[in-house]
Amino acid sequence: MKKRRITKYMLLALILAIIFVISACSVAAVSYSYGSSGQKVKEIQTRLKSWGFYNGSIDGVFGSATSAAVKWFQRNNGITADGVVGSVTAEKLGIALGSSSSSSASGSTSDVYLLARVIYGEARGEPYKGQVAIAAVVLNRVESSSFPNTIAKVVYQNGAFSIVADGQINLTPDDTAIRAAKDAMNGYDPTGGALFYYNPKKTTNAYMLAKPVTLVIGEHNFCR
Amino acid sequence: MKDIRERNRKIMYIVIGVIIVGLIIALVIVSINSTIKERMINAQYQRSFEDIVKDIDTLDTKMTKLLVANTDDTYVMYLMDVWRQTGDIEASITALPVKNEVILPFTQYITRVGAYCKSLSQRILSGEKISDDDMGQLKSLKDSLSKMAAELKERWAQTGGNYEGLMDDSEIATETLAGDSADQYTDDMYIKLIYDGPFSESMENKEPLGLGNEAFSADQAKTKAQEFLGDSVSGLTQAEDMNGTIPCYVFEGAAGENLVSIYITKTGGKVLYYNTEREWGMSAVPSDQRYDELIEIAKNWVSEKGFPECSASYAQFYNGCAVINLVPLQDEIKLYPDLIKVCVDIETNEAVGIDTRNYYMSHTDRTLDKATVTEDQAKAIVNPNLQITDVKLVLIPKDDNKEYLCYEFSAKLDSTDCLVYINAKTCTEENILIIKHTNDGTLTQ
Repeated sequence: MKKRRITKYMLLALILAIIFVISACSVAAVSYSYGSSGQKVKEIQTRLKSWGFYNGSIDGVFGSATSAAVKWFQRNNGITADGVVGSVTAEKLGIALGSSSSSSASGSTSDVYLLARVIYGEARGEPYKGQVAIAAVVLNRVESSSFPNTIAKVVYQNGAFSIVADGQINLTPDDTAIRAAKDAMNGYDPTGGALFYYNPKKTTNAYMLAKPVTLVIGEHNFCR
Repeated sequence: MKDIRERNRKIMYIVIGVIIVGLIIALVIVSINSTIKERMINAQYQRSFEDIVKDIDTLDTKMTKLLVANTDDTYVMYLMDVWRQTGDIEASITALPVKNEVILPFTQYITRVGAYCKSLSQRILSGEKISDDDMGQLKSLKDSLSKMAAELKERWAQTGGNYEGLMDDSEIATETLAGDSADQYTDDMYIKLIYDGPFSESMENKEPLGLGNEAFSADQAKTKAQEFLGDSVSGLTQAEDMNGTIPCYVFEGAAGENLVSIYITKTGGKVLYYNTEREWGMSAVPSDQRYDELIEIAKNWVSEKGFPECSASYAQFYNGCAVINLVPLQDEIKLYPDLIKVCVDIETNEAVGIDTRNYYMSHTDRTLDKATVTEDQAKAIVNPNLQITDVKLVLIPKDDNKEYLCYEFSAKLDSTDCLVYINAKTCTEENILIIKHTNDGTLTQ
């Protein structure tokens, strides 16, 4: 009877130890600070050097120079300057800390994020140029006299985008969609001013088919 | 035994009965809910239709008042009123489930009516007198709106105010708003508005000024592309042409593992875009010193590629790149219409992209007039609460398709950075831009 109780306590202790080790590991995995070392620290130093915050050697040792560089980087990028590379700083530095990070709305303006949602809903899996092209059509519409004058009004115009009706507009966009949205916002328009696009295999609309095609990318014909 | 079986059967019947009744109740609830939702949506459509009918009628009245008016203040008041109201109509029409064939020309017409009235009011505010041509145009506009208002009212009466009178399959909708054919509505209902301003035909069909006339073949364009890209890009092949506003040959190649696209204009053989598709990139603002280095890299690169000397404007930082806005200079005057965007890879210091669309749309050999207003005179116009940090002479584009020589005052209002543009000939405030510092860099709005 006594033996069984001892075994029970040992088992409990073992479970607690495992939990402790796991939590300790996970803490170590999600942040780098003064005293850390290794390959990830090298990556951090390389990025900080390229972005002009670090002048020391890429030695993989998180010393006072690296800590000062991290703080400077954080101040310049609107992050609390604590000298610790946690999840927020790592995301900004483009460094994966174990778990993969998904895109969040926090890093983008609302316009970029809405465009990215349209891209993701309409053209995920299409070539990158095709993704930028979708966003370019939205932006060309905003500029055109025949369409509303804000991104949200264009996207949510009645019947304008099928992804609004089927709910795909609400999916979380990936990094590629965000990048394509930013490229389009910055002026990249692979469509040459297109206001429409359609999938020629699925469209029977004579009005659309009569329009001159400016470009074909993947599944989509773009036209003005 | 028999009793138990009988009892079980009874229980089964009761369970099945309960399930069926439950399902019927659920179905009724779902159908009531969906009917309510449908009615709510229809009510929204209905409201939009009623608004359009009413707003077009009000617009017609306001246009009549404009024709009656005779002082600048009244003109400006009603013109701005028309502009505001066209925005409401545009919002209502785009909320309706109507065919593109109907909605596009109607929206375009309403947008142009508003833009024309706004630009006319701005001209009056800047001291111009309303011309006979403008009065003639306002008269035609009034006639066209009267006709539209009458037809919409008739349609409203015929359908009992049902918005479906404007719906997808309605022949009447096309007749009411667009006429039987495109020719009919442009001749009949929609008059052609002539003005220099946003959304005007001359602005929307603007031709590039900086490309020249020489036609290029695909082979010549490919040679140009390879010359521009150098040895770092290999395997250049022709992709689908881009036949848009500025028709281009498109070529794709590889820079290491990255796909590179380059667009060469069919007329002039110029590089319109060069873009490198990169898999990964961090989005962070570099240190000031590093930013200055990146600007130098961008400036030197465009100079090597044959563009004029440039001054750096603002930048965005994303996907491992700095997208730097470069403003070409002429006699040290910044030419904002000719803005060039250059993308520099922050890790490798290489230029990996360019966007010259603005440059080739606007660039031409300009003879820049001298400023007739002195810097001090211009400064006297600037809000005295601003703390001015810099002054430059610049050329800015405006939405009337003209360029204005201005003093650009970089200033601060408390912690807000802004740019104030004072016309260097008329000493009036031409534009104000607010500089926004975001996580990705700097934007002007």
